[in-house]
Order: sequence, then structure tokens, then C-alpha cells
Amino acid sequence: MNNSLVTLYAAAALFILQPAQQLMAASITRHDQTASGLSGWRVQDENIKVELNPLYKDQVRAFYLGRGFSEALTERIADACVYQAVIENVSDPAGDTRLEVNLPDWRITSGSGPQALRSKESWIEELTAAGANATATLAFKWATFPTQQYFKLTGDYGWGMILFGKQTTETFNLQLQWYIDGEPVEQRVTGLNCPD
Amino acid sequence: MKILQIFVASLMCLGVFGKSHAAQLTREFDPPFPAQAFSLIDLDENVHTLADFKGKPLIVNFWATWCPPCRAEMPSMERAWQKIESEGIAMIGINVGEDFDQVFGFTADIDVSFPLLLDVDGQVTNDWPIQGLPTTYILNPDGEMVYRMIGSREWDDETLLDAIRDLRQ
Repeated sequence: MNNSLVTLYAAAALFILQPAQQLMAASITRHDQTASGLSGWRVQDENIKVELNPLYKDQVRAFYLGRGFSEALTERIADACVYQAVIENVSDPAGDTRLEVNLPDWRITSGSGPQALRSKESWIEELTAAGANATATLAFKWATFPTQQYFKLTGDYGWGMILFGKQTTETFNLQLQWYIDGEPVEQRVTGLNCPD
Repeated sequence: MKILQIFVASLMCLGVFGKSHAAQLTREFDPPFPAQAFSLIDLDENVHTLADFKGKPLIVNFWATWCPPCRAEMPSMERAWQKIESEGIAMIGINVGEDFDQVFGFTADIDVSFPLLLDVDGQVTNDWPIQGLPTTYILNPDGEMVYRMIGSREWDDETLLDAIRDLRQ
């Protein structure tokens, strides 16, 4: 085997292995939300902590009815498999590490193939067209997780609801992606569900 | 109402909100970036503009009563205010999208003595580079953004306050 072929094989092996290494970098644990009794997911490595916590439909209803949405529109939101997400930059403060999250990069990977998350902007458009008032849509805008957000400081964190949309299967998988100083990192979380 | 309380409680139990992060301040805006002017009323209907605070470092906290981490950090903001009010540093909270009654009701639960301004239509919040709540900016005495913090902090942390004190002219 000549040298260039060896180099080619080595490069290909590295290319194949790299995503696997990224996938193994973070730990995934389940935790109980003591107040609701539901189990959530925690994804963590040396730079990021992600918490994904399912919400009961009644929790979502209570929140959005309280913000001024009609019952019909509140039901539409509650039916969309709503999770509470918290994403934090937990990197070493000395490292000056920039964490960036773009929700359009995330994919639901069960059912009929990878699906992108519906954007909050698209939701706001729909809710406004359906007659939601300005106060309610403003609350929706700020209570849902930002479409794009970067966290420059250790300890910076964002929180907000993520609407995964009505699922056709009992559980679904989620491919997360984030960027550390511009470099993409991926992590798959399996077995998420949508509690009633 | 009970469901809403459980909802808020469950968010508070996530283990993030209100926890004491080691104070880390890196200049977000270097060089400092001029903040967008605003004119908003407080709960006493007094008008406040950005220009009113020129000459002092200014802490600007964007928040909402329904935002659990915003609620979590408010007591430490008040404690910080008690320390810095007489030191030539200003602090305001800009509430996003709520009315007088909602914010006034909040102050019945949590004591806040620094000005809480009402951005009822969310226009000022849209004009500033904010992606989520709470977000807090530290402005220098020239009204320019120097620091930005996303998520709650323990605002009475002396390390953090010292960095703000250092901005005084």
C-alpha cells in the first residue's frame, strides 16, 4: 500500500470517527423535577449544560392563559409538546469560551426522518394571524427559547420553552447541536416524550 | 392558580436559577457601544430617559414577572442597590410587556426600591440587543454598554460590584 493511500485511509478514518467522539463527549442523565414529578434530561460536558424538561399540558395552559391567550390558541400551544429548556455556558472562566446555540440546527430524528424544529417566529406569525393580542404574543416571544443565542461568559445561561410539535410516535429522539468557539458539537438524546 | 404555582416551582427546581455563579466579568463591548436611548415611565409615572443617568455607571436589567430566573435574581439586585445607591451608581429594571398592575403586584411579593420602568409594548427591549430574559447590561457613565450578562446573577457579589465601581469616572 503506498503512502498516499495510507494517508487517505487515515484521513477517512478520522473523518468517520470525529462525529462519534463528539457524540461521546457529553454525559446524558435523567433527573426528576420534584415539583411536577416528571423526568427531565441533562446533557453536560466541560463547556455546556443543557436541561430539557417536559411540561404537562396543564402547566402550559396555565402559563399562556395567564398571559392573555384565548383558550383555543392556548390549546394549540399546549398540544405542541412543550419543553422547558435551560442552556448554560459552564466552561472554565479562564478559557473565554463562546457557546452558541442555533435552534434551527436541532433535529427531531424519529418518525419519518429528521425534522427541523418549527421556529418561534413562525409560531408568532400563526398566533398573530389567529387573533392573539400583542401582549400575549410578546409574552410568547420572550417565554420561548431564543432562536439563536450566544453565551460569552461562564455562568451565562438562557431559558425558555421549546415547542417540538405534535409527535406521531410515543417517544422521539433529538439531535442537539451547539458551537464552541465556532466549532460544531453534536449530541443525540433519545426517548423524549410528550406528557399529557 | 395551583398549576401555575407548580409550573413556576418546577422551573425554580431546575437547579440553575438564582444559583451563585462565580462572578466573571469580561468586557462584552470593547470598545464600549452606545446604548439605544429610551424614555419610559416608572410605577409612579415618572419619566426616565437614558440621558438622565449620564455621569454614572448604570445597571439595566430586562425582566418580566412571569420569568422565574428574573424573579430569582431580584432580591440580590435589591441588596446590591442598597450597597451602591450612595456610591454614584444607578440601577433600573425594565419590565417587558406587562402593565402597571402586574408589576405593582410583583412588588407586593418582592421588595424593590430601585426604579422599575414599564416597556409595555416591548419596543425598547426590541431596540436593545437582547435575546432572552433576564439580560442585564452595565453601562459606563457615557451611556455606553460595557458588560452584558445573560441569566440571573447574585448581584450583591462584591467582585461583580467592584467591576461596576471601577467604571466610575
